[in-house]
Amino acid sequence: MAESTEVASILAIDIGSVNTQAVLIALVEGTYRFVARAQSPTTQEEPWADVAIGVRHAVEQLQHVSGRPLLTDDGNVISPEHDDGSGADLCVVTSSAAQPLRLVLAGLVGELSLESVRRAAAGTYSSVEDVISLLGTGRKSDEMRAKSILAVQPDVVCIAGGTDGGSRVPVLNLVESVALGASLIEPTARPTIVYAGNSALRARVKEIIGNDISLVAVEGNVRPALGAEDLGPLQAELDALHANTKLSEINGLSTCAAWSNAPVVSTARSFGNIVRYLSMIGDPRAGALGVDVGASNTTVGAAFNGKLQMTVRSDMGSAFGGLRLLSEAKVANVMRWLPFQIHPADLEAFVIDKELRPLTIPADGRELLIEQALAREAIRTIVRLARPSWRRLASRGQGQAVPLFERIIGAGAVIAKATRPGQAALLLLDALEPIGVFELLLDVYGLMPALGAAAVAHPLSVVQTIENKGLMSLGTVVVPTGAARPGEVILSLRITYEGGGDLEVEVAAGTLEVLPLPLGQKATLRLQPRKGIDIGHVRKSIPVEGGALGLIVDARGRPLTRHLPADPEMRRDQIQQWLWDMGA
Amino acid sequence: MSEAGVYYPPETRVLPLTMIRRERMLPMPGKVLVEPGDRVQPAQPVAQTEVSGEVSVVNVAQLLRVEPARAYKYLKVREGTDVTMNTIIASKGLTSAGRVKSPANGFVYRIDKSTGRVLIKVVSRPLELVAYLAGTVSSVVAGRGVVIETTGALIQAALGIGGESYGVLQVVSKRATDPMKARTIDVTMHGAIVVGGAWFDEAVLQQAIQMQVRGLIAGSLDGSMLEAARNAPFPILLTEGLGHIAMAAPIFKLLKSNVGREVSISALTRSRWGLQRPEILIPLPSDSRPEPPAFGIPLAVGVRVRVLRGPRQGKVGQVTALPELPQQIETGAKVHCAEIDLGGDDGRTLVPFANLEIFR
Repeated sequence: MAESTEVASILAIDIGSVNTQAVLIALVEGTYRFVARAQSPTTQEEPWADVAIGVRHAVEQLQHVSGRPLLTDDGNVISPEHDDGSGADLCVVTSSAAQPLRLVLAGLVGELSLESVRRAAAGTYSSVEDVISLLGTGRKSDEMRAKSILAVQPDVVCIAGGTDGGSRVPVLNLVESVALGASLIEPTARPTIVYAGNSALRARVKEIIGNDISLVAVEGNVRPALGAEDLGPLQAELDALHANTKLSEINGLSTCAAWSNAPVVSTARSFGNIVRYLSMIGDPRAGALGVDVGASNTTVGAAFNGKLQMTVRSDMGSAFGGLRLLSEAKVANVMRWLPFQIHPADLEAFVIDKELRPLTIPADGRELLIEQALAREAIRTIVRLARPSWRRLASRGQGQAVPLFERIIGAGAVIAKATRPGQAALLLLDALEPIGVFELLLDVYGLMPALGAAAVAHPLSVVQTIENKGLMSLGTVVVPTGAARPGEVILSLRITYEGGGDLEVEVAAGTLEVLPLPLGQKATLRLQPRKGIDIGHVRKSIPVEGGALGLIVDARGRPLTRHLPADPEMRRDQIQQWLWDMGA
Repeated sequence: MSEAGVYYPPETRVLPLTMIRRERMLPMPGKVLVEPGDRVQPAQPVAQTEVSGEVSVVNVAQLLRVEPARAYKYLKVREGTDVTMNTIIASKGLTSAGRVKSPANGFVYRIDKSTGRVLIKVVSRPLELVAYLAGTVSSVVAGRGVVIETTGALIQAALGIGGESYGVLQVVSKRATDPMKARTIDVTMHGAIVVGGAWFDEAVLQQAIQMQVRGLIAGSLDGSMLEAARNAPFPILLTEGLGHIAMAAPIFKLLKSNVGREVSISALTRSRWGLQRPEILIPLPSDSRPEPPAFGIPLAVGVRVRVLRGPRQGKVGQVTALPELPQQIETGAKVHCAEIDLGGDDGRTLVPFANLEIFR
């Protein structure tokens, strides 16, 4: 691989389940900048059945857009960069196109370890197909547990149970049940058993599982003590299993891997790397939150001072999993974000059609708002799953529905390609219900996976590309919260613009507004909340910089859904009003 | 070349005459019943196997109240032994309490000496795989299945509900834009694959069930009909998708030109990880063996395309221009578009690349 200092250009390829993206980052006037991006349909399925074809299509387009030759005549990536300016020094590949690992989780009833395994699994590309727990030692339950594994035919069975030095017999009984279930499956289709329970039992577990079934004994108990949780080693094993089985199964990926200077990694993991990085700049006590709604997966990464918690739903995205979303989040909850009426059957038809034609984009405003309403509920669903983990990582904001974040980043076409910045901002505010004062950013160029993958090989390029506006700022958001009657003044706000001029605003409860602060304009923000109103412990005077929208003040209240009118017509009017307020 | 570079849209195939090959494979090893060169009919079994039954787990150690590791000493069976319900598989002492009986008919699948369990695989049930397509067996994969080939018409649909079927093709609508009417489905449609133009309602579905048709093909279906369609006793194919969309004119024309012929339809639809499109196959005699055209046509002027979304969904036309720069569409988004000549009242219109597919 090229030395860090020698890297003048980076070609980053992200193979999604629907689209494949190619991004070019290069050293321009001594600093790394985003140069160009291109996108083409992913060619994972028949008749192509080879993702490398779609990658070539995307890179061909990138050549046209950037004017830089990147492919040889026989369709391979030119690397390193040649003297004539063709090629790229570094090539990195990420992918979210693989199937998730199908998991069965096994644990002891009444133990927290099962919840820990569930949280560990939620941070990986996996789908939990069944949960088996040890209810007793009776013959029937023993057989039923084994049969549930036979019925699901999972890729992996994750076993947890017992703190280190704790429960022995129940854990071993559980292992026996799992081994029995796995042995019922044809040898070529047997699941891998991942053991993350009482560490003292590892040798005995190995004996029980035997040699006919693959066993991974995780280095460390997922729940080593009652008050302790250690998800990292189990997540690392699940990530490795996903990479070695599902990711490597993708036809043509080996061709792309040969172009890459680093191992092919999952898009979610790369995305998480950048969220982690963003949590380490600025105020070390505040967190960074990233949300990526992809075609197949919805990913939320929350990081506090470098500690990252990823949550991935592999069965819920902007194109696939719509029916599951409607079933889990409820049709009415999706409909509540729409300023017009829609029949539930038409909503169901909409998500089915989208799944049949995942590449398509909304043709009119109505379709656009439906896609955004679905995205709101997909994010809300995953945030409900992720939130308990954030509380453990956050150093402040404890007790709040959502911890305090200093930066919130939206990614994925449905957010980052919203036709107006106000739509993207409103989608994120409605879905996440963040509080305090924070900056809202959009990954409009789809750089997060690229930068996350490049971060390992060349961290400087990542830092500089982000500094050079690789992520688009929508603006600073102020969310005052606390008990107040609608219309009551809860916050006095003054913007002092660099270069002169002031703007004073009295913020009333229940309002949503965008104040003028153009992109790049610097200003000082002074906030004076009324007694009992929380703005998240920020200083009374803070320097801010304008974004694509301006300065957003969201005083609608939290939880937001409590402030939505119950009457459907009034609610639709309210949603329309908020869209207008945000210029959406 | 436009700034957008080369764009390769997805494809739908509507081919009046092409070579059609379909693999018919058993889900597990079995026996193939035909040989290469055999002519087969859709309902004809081409392979068969036995689907394994459930597994019953008998915890002998627990039932005999002995150490798991000692249980095997009392076993009266070995792995592979056939058993019937109540066959004694283990005994200890002379009392009935010391006897362990098989809970089912089957065979001893596995004896787990370390846990003292006996696994009994219950008797299998037969599974027969039919040809689905009238044609010739071109090759046999020993123990797994066959490849059947024929010349004929191939039409890919958008959405299918149900499984596979076959029958005589009948068209009950005059135009592609006409919704199906219940009264047009009479007793002569018994056993037929019935085609309507645009969409159908509950009355049509009930009439089709009563007349025992073997399949329905329409342009689209209202979302409110989904549940009823899922419960229909025959497959339903929609060439355009859900909503109120007329069948693409070239598809309707091709179906109409094949009225009275035997067709095979598959409603199986899978949109990722093993893409499967619903399809209509019409075997036709031919002296030639025209191979299907290669995939991978870039969007270019002159290419025939179909609109996949928006008010003109389902309309087929030709690309007349590829504007150099992104165009603003109704949502406010600026995206690369193609100018399409849809003919008639629609004339020329701009459609985002993402909302187009190659149609040939």
